[in-house]
Amino acid sequence: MAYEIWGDNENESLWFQSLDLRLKTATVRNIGRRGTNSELIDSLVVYDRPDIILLANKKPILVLEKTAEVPTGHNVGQRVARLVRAAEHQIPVLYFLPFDARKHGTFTGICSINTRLIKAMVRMSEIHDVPVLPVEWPSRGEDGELINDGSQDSKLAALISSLLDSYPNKWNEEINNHEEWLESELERRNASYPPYEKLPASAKIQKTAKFLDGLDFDTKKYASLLRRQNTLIYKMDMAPESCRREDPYTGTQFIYDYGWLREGPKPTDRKTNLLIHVPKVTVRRWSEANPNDPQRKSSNWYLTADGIVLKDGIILIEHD
Amino acid sequence: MSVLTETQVFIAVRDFLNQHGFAVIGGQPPSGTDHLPVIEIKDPLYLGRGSKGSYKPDLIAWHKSNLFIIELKPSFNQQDRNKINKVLNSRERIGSLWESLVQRNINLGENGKISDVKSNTKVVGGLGYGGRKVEHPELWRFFVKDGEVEATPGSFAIDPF
Repeated sequence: MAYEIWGDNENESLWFQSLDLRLKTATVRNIGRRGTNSELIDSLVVYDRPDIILLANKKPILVLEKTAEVPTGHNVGQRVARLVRAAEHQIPVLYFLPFDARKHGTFTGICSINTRLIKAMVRMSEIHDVPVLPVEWPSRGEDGELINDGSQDSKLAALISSLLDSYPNKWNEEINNHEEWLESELERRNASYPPYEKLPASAKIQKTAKFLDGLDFDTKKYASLLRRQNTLIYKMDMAPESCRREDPYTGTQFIYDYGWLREGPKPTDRKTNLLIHVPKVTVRRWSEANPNDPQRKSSNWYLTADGIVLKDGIILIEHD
Repeated sequence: MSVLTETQVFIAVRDFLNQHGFAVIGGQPPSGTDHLPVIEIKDPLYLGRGSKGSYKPDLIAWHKSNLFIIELKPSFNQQDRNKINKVLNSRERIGSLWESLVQRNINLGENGKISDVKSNTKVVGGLGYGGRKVEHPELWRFFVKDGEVEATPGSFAIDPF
C-alpha cells in the first residue's frame, strides 16, 4: 500500500508518521490553500483545513484533527466543519483532544469537555456510517496536566493501526469498542454534569410560526419555513461592527444540527428547521461581512442552516 | 541553497535539544499543535484577564541548571533578539515565566520537578535560525544548516531568584 500524508504542518505530519510503522515510508506533503491542491484534497478542505489527510493508493482513508485545547466555551465548535466534510465523503475521522485538562493563567482550573461535541460526533458516525470519533489526549489525574511523555498517543495509534489493518472496512473491533466506550462516557459525564445533555441557553427549539410572528419585520415572504412546525433558533449577540467572523459559530451549528436535528446525511434530512439568529445586524451589513462566496470562509455560514435571521429580514438558504 | 521554513527550524532545534540531553519542556510550533505545553509569559503592565501582551516562546528547555528561552525563525531576526533580551531584563517577566512553569508542575525526568531546580537555575536566551550566521554574543545560537544544528553558547544569564 502506498501511503501519502497530507498535513497542515510538517511537524504534525512527522508526529503522525510515527504512529504506525507502515507510515514510515509514506510521502509527506503539505496541504496548500484551497485551489492549489489536487482536486481530491481540495474537495476535503473546502469547508476548512484538517491537520492530516491520509491517502492509501491515492484514496483518502483517514482525516485526523489534533488540539491541546479542551473543548469548552467557544472552542467547542471551532474545528467541527472540517470533520463534517470528511464524514460527508465517508472518510473516517479521529479527533485527538483532551477530555479533561488544566487551563492555565490567573484563574487556573481543570476544564472538562463539553459533551455536546461527543454526542454530535457519535451521531455523525451513525448518520454517515463512518467512524467520526473523538479520542482522548489523556491528562495526569493529580494535576490535570496533559501527558506528553509519548504514552499519550497509544490509544490513538491503536485506532489508526486498526483502520490500516481493516481497510477498506471502516469499522473494526477496535473502532467499535471505542465508539461503545464513548457512548458510556457520554452517559457518565452527562450524569455528573446534566446541563450538557440539553441545548444551551443560546439555542432553543420553538414553534416556527410563533418565532416568525415575534420578529419585527414582515415575514410573509419567508412562509417556506412554515413547512416545518418547529425550528431550532441558534441566537448570537454579534454587533454589526464585529459580525465579520466565522469561528466558532459556523462549526457550532453542526453540533446542534447533528446532536439534535439531523436524521440523514443531508441538511434537508431534518424535521425541524435550523435558523441562525443575529438580531442586531441588518441583511445588508451581514451580506457585506459574510457573503456566501465559496472562496471565503464566510461561506461556512451557509452550509447547514435553513436561514440566517437578521434585524430586518431573513436570508433563506436552500440545500440540494 | 533552499530557504528553511520556520517549522523546519523548529523541528531541527527541538530534535537537537532532545538528542543532546536537554529537557524540552515547552513551546509552540509555528502552526498546528505539538505535544509541548505552551508557556505564556505575561505582560507585567497588563492586569486584566486573558493573554493581552503576553509572550509565548517558541521553545523552552532545561539543561544543566540553565533554563533556555528560544526564538526560532528561518533566518536571523533582530526583533526576536530584542524581544528575548527585553524578557531577560525584566524581573517581572522572568517571574511570570517561573510561575507558569511551576504551575504546570513540569517534570524534568531524573532531575525532578521544575520547582526542585528553580533556586539554582539561571535563565538564558537563544535564537535558532538558518541562512546567514550572525554574531549575537549575549544569546545562544542554534544555527541550522543542511539538517544539522550547531550550538554556540551565549554569555548572558539571569541568576536564580
